[in-house]
Amino acid sequence: MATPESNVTERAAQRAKGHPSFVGYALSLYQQSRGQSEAELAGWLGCPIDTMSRLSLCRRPVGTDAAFRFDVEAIARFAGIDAERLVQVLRTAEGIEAFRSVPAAGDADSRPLRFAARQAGKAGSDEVAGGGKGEGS
Amino acid sequence: MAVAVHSDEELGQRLHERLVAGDPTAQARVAEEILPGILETFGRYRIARRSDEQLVTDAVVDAFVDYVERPAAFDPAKLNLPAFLRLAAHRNLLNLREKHATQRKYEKAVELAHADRNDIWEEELIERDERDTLLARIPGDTLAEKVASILPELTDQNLCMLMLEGERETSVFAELLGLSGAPEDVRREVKRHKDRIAKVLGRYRKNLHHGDAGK
Repeated sequence: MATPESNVTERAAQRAKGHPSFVGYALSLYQQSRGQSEAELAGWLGCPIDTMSRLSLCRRPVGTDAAFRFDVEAIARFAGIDAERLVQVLRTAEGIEAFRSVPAAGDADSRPLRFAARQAGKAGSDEVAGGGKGEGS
Repeated sequence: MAVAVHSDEELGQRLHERLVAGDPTAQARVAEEILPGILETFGRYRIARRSDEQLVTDAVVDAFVDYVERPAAFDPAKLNLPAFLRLAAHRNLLNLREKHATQRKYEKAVELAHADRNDIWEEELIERDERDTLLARIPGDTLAEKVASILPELTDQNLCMLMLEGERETSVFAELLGLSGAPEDVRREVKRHKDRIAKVLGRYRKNLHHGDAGK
């Protein structure tokens, strides 16, 4: 039975969805964009649904340098998920954020944005290629 | 890497060091391994026992999120992490309760405006007006800020807030003051601190009546 003490971690994970510095925020954006349930997302990431809280509560890695890869692999190990898929989630979330931060379509040329989003997705896949998945599992 | 630790305090210190060093998983471990204990201990505080359970949990979660977003606000030289988070949760709960109280006060005022007046209600209103007028003259928007304007030390502020809430558990005060030892000695020391705070508040109130508070 869930006690108030056990609920506090779950509540913190729920709160993380509203704070951009948490992985939970990126997961939430990704989930919305794909129209997935939390269970579907957990399945795709390769972890039980219970693990989503601990994953959500991690600090969200940003950037493109070696530290990003190091952080992604640390989180993937910690939560027991697929590192490449985590990168995909993080890059998609960045793309969505970038999209939301620019003026509405018609106000500005959106082609560079779409290009940037595609590049971000591609970069995400490249970053963990050659070892990320294996180390992160 | 698994680390053998002996207490929440020690675990908090290690996790804080890892968080500051950039470990992205450290904050999740704080949430999983430290927060439940904080809620359990904080839940025994008088103010928590008298508050809605959801509100208490929210206060603890807010303390965690604030810490994670501004870890520099925590100074390990002054407090251990669980104590720091408990104090933050305590402040958060006071603020949350104050927000709710303001809402209730407004609703009550609306009710009063529509109700038949009688002497008792008038007396109560006059008394409350006097108290509110006095309180309004102390700098600060919230009760916590007003207390901070009277007592510069953080520990004294928290001690005062506990007293204002009517906390009676010696162990709660002792924990805040970092006291340990023979129960009788702890009780005496807690009483000494409470008397000291009461004296400062009494002096401030007296000065406020005479219009020279803070001098």
